[in-house]
Amino acid sequence: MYINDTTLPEWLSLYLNNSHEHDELVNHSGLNPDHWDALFNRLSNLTAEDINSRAIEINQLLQNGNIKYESNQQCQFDPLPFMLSKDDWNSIEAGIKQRTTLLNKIQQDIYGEQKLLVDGSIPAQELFKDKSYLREGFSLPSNELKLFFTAVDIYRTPTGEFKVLADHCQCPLGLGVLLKSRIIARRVMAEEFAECNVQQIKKFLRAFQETINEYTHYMDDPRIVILTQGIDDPNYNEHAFLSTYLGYTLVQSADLTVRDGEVCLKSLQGLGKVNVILRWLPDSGIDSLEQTEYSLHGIPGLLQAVREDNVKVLNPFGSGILSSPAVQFNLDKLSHNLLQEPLLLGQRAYHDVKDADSLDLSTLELMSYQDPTFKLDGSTDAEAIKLAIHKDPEQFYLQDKPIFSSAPFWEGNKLVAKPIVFRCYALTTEHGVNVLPSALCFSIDDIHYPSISGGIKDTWIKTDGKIGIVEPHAITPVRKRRDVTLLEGVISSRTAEHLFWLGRYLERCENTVRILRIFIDRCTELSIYSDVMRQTIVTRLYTAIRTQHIVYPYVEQDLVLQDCSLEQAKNMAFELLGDEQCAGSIINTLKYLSNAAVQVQELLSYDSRRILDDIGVQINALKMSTANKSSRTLQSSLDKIIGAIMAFNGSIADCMPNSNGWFLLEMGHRVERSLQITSLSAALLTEELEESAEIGLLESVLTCQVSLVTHKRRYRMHQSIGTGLELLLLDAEYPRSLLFQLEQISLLCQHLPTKRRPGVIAAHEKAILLSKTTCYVTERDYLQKSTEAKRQQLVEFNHHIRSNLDTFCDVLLLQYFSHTQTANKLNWTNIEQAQS
Amino acid sequence: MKYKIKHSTTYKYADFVSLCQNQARLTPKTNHKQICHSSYIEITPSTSYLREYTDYFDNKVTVFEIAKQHKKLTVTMVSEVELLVKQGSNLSSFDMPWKDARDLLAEPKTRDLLKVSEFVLPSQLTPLEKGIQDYVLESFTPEMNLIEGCTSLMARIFHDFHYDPGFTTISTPLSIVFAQKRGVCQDFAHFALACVRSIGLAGRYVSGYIETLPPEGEVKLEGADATHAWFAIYVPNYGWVDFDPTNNVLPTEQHITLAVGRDFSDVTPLKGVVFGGGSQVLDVAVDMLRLE
Repeated sequence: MYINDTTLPEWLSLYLNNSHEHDELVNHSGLNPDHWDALFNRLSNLTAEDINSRAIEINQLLQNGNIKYESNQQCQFDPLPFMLSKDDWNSIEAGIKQRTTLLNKIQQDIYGEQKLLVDGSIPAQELFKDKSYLREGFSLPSNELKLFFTAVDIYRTPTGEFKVLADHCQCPLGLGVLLKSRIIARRVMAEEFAECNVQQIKKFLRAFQETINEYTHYMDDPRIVILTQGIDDPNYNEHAFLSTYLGYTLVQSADLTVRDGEVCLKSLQGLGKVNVILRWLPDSGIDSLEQTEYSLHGIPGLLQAVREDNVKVLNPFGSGILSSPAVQFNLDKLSHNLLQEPLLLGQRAYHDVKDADSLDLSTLELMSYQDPTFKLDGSTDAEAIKLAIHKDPEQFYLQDKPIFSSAPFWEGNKLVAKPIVFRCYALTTEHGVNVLPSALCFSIDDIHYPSISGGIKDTWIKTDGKIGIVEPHAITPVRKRRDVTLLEGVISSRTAEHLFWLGRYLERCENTVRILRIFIDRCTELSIYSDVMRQTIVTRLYTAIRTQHIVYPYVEQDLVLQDCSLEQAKNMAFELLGDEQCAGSIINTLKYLSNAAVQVQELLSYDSRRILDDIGVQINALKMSTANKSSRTLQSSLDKIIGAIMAFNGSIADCMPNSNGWFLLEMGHRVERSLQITSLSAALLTEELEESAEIGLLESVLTCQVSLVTHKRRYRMHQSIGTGLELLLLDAEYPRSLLFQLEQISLLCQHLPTKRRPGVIAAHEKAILLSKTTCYVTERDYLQKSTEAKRQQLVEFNHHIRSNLDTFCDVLLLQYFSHTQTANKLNWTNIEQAQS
Repeated sequence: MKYKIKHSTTYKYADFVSLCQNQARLTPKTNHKQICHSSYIEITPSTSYLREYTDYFDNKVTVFEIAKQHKKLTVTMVSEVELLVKQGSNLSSFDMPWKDARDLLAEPKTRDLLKVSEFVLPSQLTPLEKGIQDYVLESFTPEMNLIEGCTSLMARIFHDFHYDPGFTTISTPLSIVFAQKRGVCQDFAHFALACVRSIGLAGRYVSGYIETLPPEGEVKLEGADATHAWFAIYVPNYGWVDFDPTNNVLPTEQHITLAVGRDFSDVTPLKGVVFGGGSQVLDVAVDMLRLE
């Protein structure tokens, strides 16, 4: 079998020559191992180093564009795909089609006539007890109960047949992972992919979208959303990926509200009707009004909207019951009953605990009816099983332990055999069941709880003919033109707020880095040329940073000077960089930044997400580097951070469609920069000092604002605090000036939907207009003037601008981002005292 | 016997509520014991959305939404209900050994029996606590008849338990009610349900109203009547039979059924989700007027 052994590279022959009992490659390739041969034909030219570099490339690609979040599960993509022969696939596909048809019929009956319960095909008592039997389902229209998108986990038994491990009829996970792995495999193994005539998955995804479109075909303006729990959900990345891939808006429960029996999205423009919800949330707590189980993620009134046929929820409500033991135990019987044919894909055998004594426990596992996470392995926990059965026989059942086949995974420079399961996906449409011609193959690291967490393989199924069409390499949203125009107008209020804050954090981070750089620079100068002027500058900068006047939260009180030694100055520099206790430190700002970015992940381009990964790396580096306190590492950290921030700004400036709420990001930038300019001039320029010290401080401020060169050029003849203030604050043409920022904010405000009648301006615009006017009518000499060494007029000017900016932000929050109002449950009316 | 019932529920909030969504189960049932001739719900402030649907247990549910700012919500249901034949007139002829009823429900052969069999299972508020089965078996001796046994159980709860408003709340677990032998009508109904279900009989929770009569010579006060709760058991070939353990009577002329379910959580008269509002004060008043 395979290619002549002598031509095989060592890494492959080593694996083949090891003893395997139940391996996909060695034992289950069947009579015709063509499907593996084609692959190894190609791979046999590669050395172990080649494979290794592929493995590394794959995992780098995987991380790119995949913002890691702390709870994110880590998957390893394997460089070798899992191969299934055409014959094997045909039998699997037929089995899945039959099974999905069967499950759909059962779902219809359970939430309908219940004939299967009356005739005893499904034990009624067990079903009624099951938590996933949702009684609310009975009041919904019957067409709301049809299955849509389901998954089934399949494994191969030692005798070579395929059996089902589990059905997923609620929110089948892993489609995003599968898509991602296919895109990567196509890129890294392009030649092998073509050579092996791999079946494509594009058609399935098109059918997926077409089926959704069919529900809304009569509408001009359908809105389809993907509902996720949010960034706390371990599968959030997948939801965001699917949202980008399919082109549907990603929403959380708080983004949706029910009004007049319709589900609405809270957007900047107000409330907009939602037509289809692809839910990636369990259905047991999806409506916090109607359902007894109260969930924070529920949308009060959702079920009434479904009942009124105003919204379509996919997958349908109540389908979790299909995975319950009451249904699963009896599937074979149900298949005969409903389809008049035996199940094509076998089930594991179930046993009553009463028979435990006569069974060989070592091949079985004990399961609980109530607790799906409970499991005891008969070969290791036989005593515990007997005890549990004795204590509460009603609660448990026994089932055959699955014996998984293994497949080769690349690990530590060699191939290692690991047990595998593969998850197949099916779509139920008007025209029948559609099976995705691939699968998500994953290694079972914890034999007790098979889950998608370890190694992942793309699954390749050979076609008979040649393939004409090339699959898309990267993420290109498959959507109709109509949807594109629609989507660009709509983002949720929550997303809008995160965009605004993302802009602010980006700007804040950049500013803090510049301040820190200038501070280190001045300290170094002082250590070389120690004089009074330099000491004054360092003391003032030190104080303004220490007391958080010129870094977040931009304290406004008068500066009380604190002297510092060089050692103290250095310590503070490190605090501002990497101390998580310090509110405005760079590490904290980066953390907020990356959080805000995760929240708008689905709107970011692939390149922007890659840069965010770099920022994540910087955060981790900062956490680690606290021990090594040399100025050199500090400077190089700052360089890397500012490099990443600039790259990120560049990557989004490139692809920033104004209509899509991106103007809020720009607005965030401008607001933060305005705050910085006022706080710098308030903290460092309001006291009159000896001239050289004063100019020295001004130059520091100008350097922070990247304006030193312009200032020198423009005011070649005479430079003073006055000229500096003019450039920094009052020049409407100069792009770094305060007035320029205010003008930009004014322009950006025009993108905000307004509810006012023409001719009347809104409160937030008034605040900006006031600030602008103040800048226009103020002269530089007026600001420069001091009495008793204090520039009181500059102090008041700064305060005025600052309070207007605060008003602006408050109004913005209230008018446009107010999605945070929390829902409270009414206390239930208590039964009053009866006469006794 | 015909009654006019007025049931008012008022919520007062500390702050403004901007939006509230509610579900009310305040429409009396029409069944073999009573006919609801008319019902009218009045809600202030006015609703922006009002619909009705029938739930899993055949109760009428009113769904409504108020989208304007308010600090006070009043929901008033006015209904006219006619009580039919006196329950119990020929009831005893349907009595049967309780074990036969149990066996019949163990393997339900029709859709109707199937629906009834669901009420054999313990529910969230009526868990099978230790000792409950021993308690109930004192009434249901092996040869005992169904209705007879249940009458005995009702009487024992009436005598053994102390009616003590304020001792329990909706979240007091049944085990405490059982251990302390104290509670209100709702607790007694839950306890009785846990009892009958523990021996394989079907029992359901009934929410409703009870008419109160003023002491001799006094005028009846407005709002003096009360919402009430009791339980029913399923008697094969007859249907559901009500028992009121709080008053030790088989409800006949003074009990009006509002809704039925597995326990209180299925029949909550009024529930809702409000946005804003802060702390809230609740007031309930019920009036039952005999029309004929």
